[in-house]
Amino acid sequence: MSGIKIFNARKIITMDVNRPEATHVAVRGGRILAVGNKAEASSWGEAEIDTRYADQVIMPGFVEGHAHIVAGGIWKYVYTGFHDRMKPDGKSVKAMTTIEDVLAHLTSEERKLEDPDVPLVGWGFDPIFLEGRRLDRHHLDQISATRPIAVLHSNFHLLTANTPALALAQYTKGTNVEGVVLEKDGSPNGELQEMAAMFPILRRLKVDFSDLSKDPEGVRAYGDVARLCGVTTVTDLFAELDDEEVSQLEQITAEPEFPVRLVPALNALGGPAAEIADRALALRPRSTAKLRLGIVKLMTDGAIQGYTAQLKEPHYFKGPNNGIWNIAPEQLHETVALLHSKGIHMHIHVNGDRASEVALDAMEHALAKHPRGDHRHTLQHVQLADRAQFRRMASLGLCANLFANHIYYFGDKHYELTIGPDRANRMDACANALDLGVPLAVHSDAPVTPMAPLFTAWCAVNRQTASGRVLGPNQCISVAEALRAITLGAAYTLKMDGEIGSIECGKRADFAVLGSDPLAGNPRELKDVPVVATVLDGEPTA
Amino acid sequence: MSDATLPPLPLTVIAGYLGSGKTTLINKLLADAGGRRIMVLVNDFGELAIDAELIAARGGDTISLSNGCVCCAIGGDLFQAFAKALDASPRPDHLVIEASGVAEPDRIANFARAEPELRLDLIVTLVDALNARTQADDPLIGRTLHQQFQSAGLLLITKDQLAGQEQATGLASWLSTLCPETPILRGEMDLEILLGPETNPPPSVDQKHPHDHDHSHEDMYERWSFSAPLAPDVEALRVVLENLPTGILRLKGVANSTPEPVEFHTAGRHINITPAPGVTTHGLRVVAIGLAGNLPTDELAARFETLATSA
Ligand SMILES: [Zn+2]
Ligand SMILES: [Zn+2]
Repeated sequence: MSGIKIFNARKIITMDVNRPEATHVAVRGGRILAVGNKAEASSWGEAEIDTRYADQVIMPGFVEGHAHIVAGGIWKYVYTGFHDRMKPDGKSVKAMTTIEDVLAHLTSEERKLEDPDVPLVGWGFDPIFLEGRRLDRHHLDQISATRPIAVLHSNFHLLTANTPALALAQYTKGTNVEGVVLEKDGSPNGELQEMAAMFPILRRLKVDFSDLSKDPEGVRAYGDVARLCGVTTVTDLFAELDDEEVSQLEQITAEPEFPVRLVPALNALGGPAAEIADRALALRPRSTAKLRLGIVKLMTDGAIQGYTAQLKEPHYFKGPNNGIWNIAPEQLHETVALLHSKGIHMHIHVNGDRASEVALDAMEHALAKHPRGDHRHTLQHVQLADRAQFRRMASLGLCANLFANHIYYFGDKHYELTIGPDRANRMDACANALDLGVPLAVHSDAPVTPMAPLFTAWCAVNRQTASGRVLGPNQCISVAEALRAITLGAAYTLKMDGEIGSIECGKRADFAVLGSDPLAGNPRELKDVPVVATVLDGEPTA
Repeated sequence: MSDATLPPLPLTVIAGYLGSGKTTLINKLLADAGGRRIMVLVNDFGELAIDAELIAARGGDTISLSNGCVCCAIGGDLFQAFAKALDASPRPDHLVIEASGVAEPDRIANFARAEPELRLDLIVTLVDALNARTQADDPLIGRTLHQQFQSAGLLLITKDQLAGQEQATGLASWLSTLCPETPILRGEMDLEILLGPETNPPPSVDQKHPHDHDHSHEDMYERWSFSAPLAPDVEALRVVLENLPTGILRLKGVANSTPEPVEFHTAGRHINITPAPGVTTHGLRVVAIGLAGNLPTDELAARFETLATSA
């Protein structure tokens, strides 16, 4: 036995400029041996032909460059969102497009609970898409007037609780706490805004996001969430990575069934910069084929939709400027310089243009002090950067991972409320990045929006909002460019483009198998191209 | 595990921009905790100068001190931090959180305002006499500094010696126009101001002279106390607390009111009235602390006597 296997397909989109299209790919020992037609792929000798994908289209496995592992564990709770979504077990949950749908779904889940004291927790609820009266405790009391119920909104900054849950937190008539929304008569209506107001309920219902991130079943579920949307390499872009967590990740990713390469980024604000650098450097050599350690994540500002992003003049369009810093700009300078000087690969969350400017300044300063080529530091989200900032990214050698999904999910709100038409039209400017030579990736930030790289690519191509508005058509990119951003582009930001991201000789045999050809179809239907399977290291994952 | 039957855990938030002296204050707090079991949550241990002899145990992100205090590093995750403090066994007497230099302290304090097992005691914002004015005008962080001033119950001007009398006085008057209701201290802050008076005020022995005051508490502060046999109505008490004369840094008391006994605290402009089911003593007892020469003792006596006689 030669150990060579050849997959044939209707078409193979390789992302390799030397051989953009093929029909056969030969793999051995998890690596790609040959790509081409049948004869070319057979040139290495006797091979077993696997025809299971003969009618399908094979692409390089997708790379999700910015998501969070809690997107797996969160499925422990009941999904209540406006869009169809696939559970980690592969069953899909139908979109709930009215409050009645949401209540009916929660009710049927409630009836399955035997213990009357177990709380019912929902997530992914999105009131901006629903018409009619906003969800409140009276709606949820219809499901149960005795069992505590809490429904987390899709942004994780709000929740709606029923009366028994409010009572646990001692939220009653007369409660006067910021973030506890009241009815006319002064009693809480069930909606709680921001973590401080949510804390008493989450704590009593034992909903803990850090636990969800570290739950072994949640980690495995995350692998499945990724697999089901064609992803073969996925980040967890903010992890504590204490020894216990790392050992657990080593164990789980080593399981043959674990279907993805996992790239966790160490939280760089969890301690003094020098300690973080040492920690990241100590983690790096523990990397394996399926667990990549060593990158770090820095946070600067908040989120645009929460008015907590740091914006330059003229600030927010309608609404208050509540811009926050997670690190003082001067401290960011020091931290970036130190981490850079130690050879650390950084990913920096920047939403507003003030935040991206501060990050650019910090990078410029660090690079002037410690010149270093090919650092691949990546600005994450970069939603409001203008063309001048993209020019600076190019000259500093920075990559941009843009939050393209935001255009669809929050674009209307940005246009009408948060930032106004001008900046909404140029947000998540993929064309700027490509024009000016900034290496580009696009992401979902799951669970903030659902992980699905083809949907993310669709957003970058069509820039269509939920209401159907097109935001800034000049920033639309082609399907080919978008497909590159979700494969090689994202792999580049992780310094993994030498081994994944395209189908070419010598690389890891990671594939996404699709039901139709995304390059041949209507670009407006890119998001509907079915993901059939994934292959990791030459082995079908399920 | 947490115990909901305990009295709420008081929280003091120490806020202020980088270099405003938060760590110095925390070092002092840990060194002379004086029998209080304080849990201090800090951003990192790097700058803490804990006396090696004081360290009883050290593990991961926690340092236990032989004086009963505990110090934990929090990686910016407030949810975890509060959960940890509330689940600590035994529960500390007081929780102190060092806010990061760019934190808006209200976001931290709001946890204590919402959580029934916590009680917001005080936000103290440290103001660097050398740099605060410039920083407050900075386009990047100015808004954050203003928010830190505005949410404070007490403001403490630090580095006043370095800055000199004139600059510190100028800063104080600028701050008082920004935050007219907020007491402003300079230089040092005593533990009794930061965490409140340690014990409940003693009952007065002499009914004819229900109030008393002394200067013995170092020389910087002045203390006044009061007791009366009857406890006022909680709403009447609230009105008095909400309209206290200036010059009071801390006030603490118990009142065996109807329908339930209460404990009350003021810390600068923060007011707190909480049920105190354990209180069995009769009547009303109050203690107040202010800077020597600054405590409006006559005003206090007049208001509390009126309150007590209306009971
Ligand atoms: Zn982010
Ligand atoms: Zn994120």
